[in-house]
Amino acid sequence: MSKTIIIRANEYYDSMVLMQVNHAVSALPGVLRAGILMASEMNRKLMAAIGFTDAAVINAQPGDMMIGIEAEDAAALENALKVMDERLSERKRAKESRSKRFGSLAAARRARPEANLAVISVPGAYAAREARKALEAGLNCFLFSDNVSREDELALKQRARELDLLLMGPDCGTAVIDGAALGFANAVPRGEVGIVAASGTGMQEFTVLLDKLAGQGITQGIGLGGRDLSTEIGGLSAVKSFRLLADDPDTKCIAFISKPPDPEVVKVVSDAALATGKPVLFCLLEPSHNGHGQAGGIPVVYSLEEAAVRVLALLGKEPDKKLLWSQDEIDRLGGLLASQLRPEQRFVRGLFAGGSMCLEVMAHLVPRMGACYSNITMPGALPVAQFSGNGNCFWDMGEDEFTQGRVHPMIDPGLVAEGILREAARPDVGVIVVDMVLGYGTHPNPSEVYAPTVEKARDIASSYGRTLHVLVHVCGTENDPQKLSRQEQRMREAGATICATNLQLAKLALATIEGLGK
Amino acid sequence: MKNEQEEKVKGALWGRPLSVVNVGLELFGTTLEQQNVPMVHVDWVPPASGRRDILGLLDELVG
Repeated sequence: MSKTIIIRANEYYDSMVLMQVNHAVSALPGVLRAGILMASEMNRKLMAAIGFTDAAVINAQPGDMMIGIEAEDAAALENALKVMDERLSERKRAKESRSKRFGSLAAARRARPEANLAVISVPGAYAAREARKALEAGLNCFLFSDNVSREDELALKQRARELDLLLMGPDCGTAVIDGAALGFANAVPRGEVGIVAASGTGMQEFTVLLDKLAGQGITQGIGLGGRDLSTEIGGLSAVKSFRLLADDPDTKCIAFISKPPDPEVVKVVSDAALATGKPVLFCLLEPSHNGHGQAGGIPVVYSLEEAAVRVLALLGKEPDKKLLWSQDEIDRLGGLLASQLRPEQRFVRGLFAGGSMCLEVMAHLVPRMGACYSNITMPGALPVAQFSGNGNCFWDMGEDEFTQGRVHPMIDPGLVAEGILREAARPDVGVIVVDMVLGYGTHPNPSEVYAPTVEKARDIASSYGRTLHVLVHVCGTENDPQKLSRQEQRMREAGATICATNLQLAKLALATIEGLGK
Repeated sequence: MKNEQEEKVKGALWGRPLSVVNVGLELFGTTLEQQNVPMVHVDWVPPASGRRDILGLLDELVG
């Protein structure tokens, strides 16, 4: 056994680059464990947790890179270090070949006086500092970083308001500005629908459905981050976003997508929405029995699918009925799937890369399915352990407990794949529901991970004499870099049942379980 | 200011074409380049090598 711990002072790579390198090194023959991380406080703890700690790790500074590798023998260790250095050099060369690089935001701003947006994704401890600099330089901000304190968020948003600038985030994963995808977003056409959203994959699914169901495009998709609608922040960015869309003559109607805002903020948001003078629809991802409601005079729906259908109706457009199954069709298909299951296969497991995908499915199932367990909080849902559960369980695998020291499952679905295989072996599981999120920034070809996993999962169930149904929704468009039809085709070949919308995952899973024993 | 108003670009949220300064993950800069969005990248590193004590002093000096 050979092991090394190396600290490289003042050598900085971003977390995504290092995680990719770590992934590549860990997969090498003879490598038992690897940790290649910047020495932030959290990462130093992580290094200790995976068995790489010494005085140098304890004393490392956040600007230093930590390398810990354990291998079967000295040759494997030497090879791992060589591969790591090759990968890092490749990244360095690629970076240095960029002509439009600057050492600071101020220098970039001087060179590009016409710049109007800063996209900020530095570690959380520094994010507020960079966002403040960007605002003072007159730039609107898309703040992807998380772990920004509430106090900093409030101060930044108040400053943005004083400067008449928009701050999207912190923890803002998705926006589409002037047709450009920021963070994780899909290639959707320009059109007449404006969007204000506090949920990233919620915006992705909604924009994808508008395109898929009727070729409908959007004007702007403005992200808020998950905390804007809390009492403390008071919807400051939401209010600014509605004003921007009110002033945009191309925006004919507006959709607002979020978890339910804090009660005190509902009025603030609905007043801002009404003040636009344009038709507005709220889509709130929470359980509802009747599917319709209203908040402060604004109509409310409770699923992204219903929101897309209603917004299309506002524009006088009909959705493609071939893609939207009727309840009869769902019941028939569910009955067919149920007829292939054993009576004891009465539970559903959901493994989601997209947080809002998990929310939408649960919002439909919690009032209709009896006990549902999840790692996300929702009225009526019960908590579940990280890697095991009984009954109907739904995991949002983009939550912090799954992403410590790993990239998000939309970029690396490895942990989701492991989960699918684990659940496939359970004798009481009949249906597994899964989302695959396409678009800019996510895995370049997710079906290359998910398809063999589904094949293997079905084989595992079959080795015990069971059939397993894996229902898959691919959130994407034909113009996404991964191309929707190519991904869906590969998943069908692997034996997955494709659902055109995320809500259909919930409806078909429910119809299948209800069809057992009929 | 009046001229800027008159020259507002249709379909642009801020009246002028989108032009981005990317600070942090290279991935986001690359995806903007794929979409032909004007973009410059800041090679961000933790200021003062991440030493919070020195960073605090620097912020005080710069104001």
